[in-house]
Amino acid sequence: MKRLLIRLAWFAGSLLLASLLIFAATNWLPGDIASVLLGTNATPEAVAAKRVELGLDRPFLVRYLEWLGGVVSGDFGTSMINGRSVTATIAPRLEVSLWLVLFGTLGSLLLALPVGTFAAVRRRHLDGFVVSALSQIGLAVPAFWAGIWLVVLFAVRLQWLPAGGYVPYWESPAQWALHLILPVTALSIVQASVISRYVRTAVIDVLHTDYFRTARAIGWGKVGALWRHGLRNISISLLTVVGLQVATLLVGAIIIEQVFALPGLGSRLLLAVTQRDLVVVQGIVLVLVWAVLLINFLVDVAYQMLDPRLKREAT
Amino acid sequence: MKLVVDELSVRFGDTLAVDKVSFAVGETERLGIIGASGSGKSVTSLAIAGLLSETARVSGSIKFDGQELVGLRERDYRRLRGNRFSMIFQEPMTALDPTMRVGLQIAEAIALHDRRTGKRLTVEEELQRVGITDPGRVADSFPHQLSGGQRQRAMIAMAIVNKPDLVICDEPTTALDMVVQRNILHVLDDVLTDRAALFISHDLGVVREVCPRVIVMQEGHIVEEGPIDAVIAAPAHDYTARLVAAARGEL
Repeated sequence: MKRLLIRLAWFAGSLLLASLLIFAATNWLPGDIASVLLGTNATPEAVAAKRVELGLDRPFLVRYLEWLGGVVSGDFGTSMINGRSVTATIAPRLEVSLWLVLFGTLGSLLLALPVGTFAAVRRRHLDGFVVSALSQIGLAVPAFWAGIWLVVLFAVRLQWLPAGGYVPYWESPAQWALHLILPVTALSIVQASVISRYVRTAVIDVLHTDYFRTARAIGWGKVGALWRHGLRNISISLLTVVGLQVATLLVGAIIIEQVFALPGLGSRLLLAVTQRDLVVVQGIVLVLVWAVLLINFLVDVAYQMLDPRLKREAT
Repeated sequence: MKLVVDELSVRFGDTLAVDKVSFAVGETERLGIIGASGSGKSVTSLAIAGLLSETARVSGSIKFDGQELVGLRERDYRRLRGNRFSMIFQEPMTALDPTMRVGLQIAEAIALHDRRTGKRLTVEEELQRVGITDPGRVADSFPHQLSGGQRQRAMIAMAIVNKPDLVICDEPTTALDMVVQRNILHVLDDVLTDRAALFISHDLGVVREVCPRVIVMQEGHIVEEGPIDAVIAAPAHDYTARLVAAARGEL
């Protein structure tokens, strides 16, 4: 319990530090928002006046605390470009990104566990080698390329699924699901090749453990022993890899968002950067970084709950 | 005869790990197999259990209750393992699943061969039988929460829970300290009564505690066999003589 509290304190500290770094980085970025807004012909006086209007002349720390206070109460500020609430801009896009990440991770696990296990158990046979090689080819395939081929095949040729776009769940659950299938599949395939490689190594390790031999000795078959005893032991270290993958997905889904014209966080971030809309950039980067930190924190906690040896030291 | 091994050979690639080994174990007999590491004694026991890696090439014959085990289909083998014969391994810390409570692991051994699931009561009874005084706590513990002796007792409970005809013990006391080793040998002596047993060890003194008859293996061959006292009194083979000399201090 004490250990958990310490972790929690660290987590809170890292959230705070991340917010400070992000705020500092976006504020010290070259390219003054006031001159961007006024165009290249603006007089220095006009720019200075605009800076005062935007509140940019006040001390850094004051502006940071003001921003942080807003963020904590759910107000990410207003866009400097269109004057709209950043929270309202981000929220629906965060939802899209979260679905992508969630289903992308689940899908990649569903693919990677059986593929990696098969490749491990049959590693001395041709079929195991072929599966292993194929999943390695998957490593080299960029997600957008897989996405384009999926669109060509299932949307253009067969016309089973929409080629792109997004329908919110509350509008039509069926359409929502249909629009997510292709992008999630593209993400899953690419992520799965990374994870399956890891699963293969981990399963080979399990095959050589004493507890696996014991499981066989009491009457489990190979698959049964792996399912019952291997998976539990693998899941502990697999968690770390999946946690990292989720973090990658969160940011990496941006390309898939482009391919499938999904209104996710990544594409909005790109737009904000090209517009030099610092408040929106700050908001989105903060959400992404905090999400990654949160995932790491959850992985840490889950790690201790899964491994009974660590649990004892924790209590 | 419960177990008849005839001209058993095991080859890994170009290496011959076991070379034409033959021996037999009676219905309630305990046979010790002695040898240094690499002598082929563990490979022999794993060959009997059908648990060698798939790179192993096994030839010869292993008859268990008259049933040929060499070349037996995995599906049929699985029904025998943990049920008609069972195994006890050297290092109970790693031989038990570190992420699963001990009682559950024993219950699993029961459930695998019995349509009725492993009942909590049976698990605790079995733990009591191997000399555990607080079976409830031990059943609820993870392996790392138990002492080496408790872990090996749990391992033994797992091996005898389905009342097997044959128990293969592969260095069951090697990882334990002297006092615990003595207690575990006592438990084994008790639970192996009225069963056939193979007792594999590099330690002549330990084998003498439980086995009246012994075979000595070296580099995949049987170099000597006979009643253990006779072997110790008059070792016929060089290697055995060295083993006896080495063990002399403890005997």
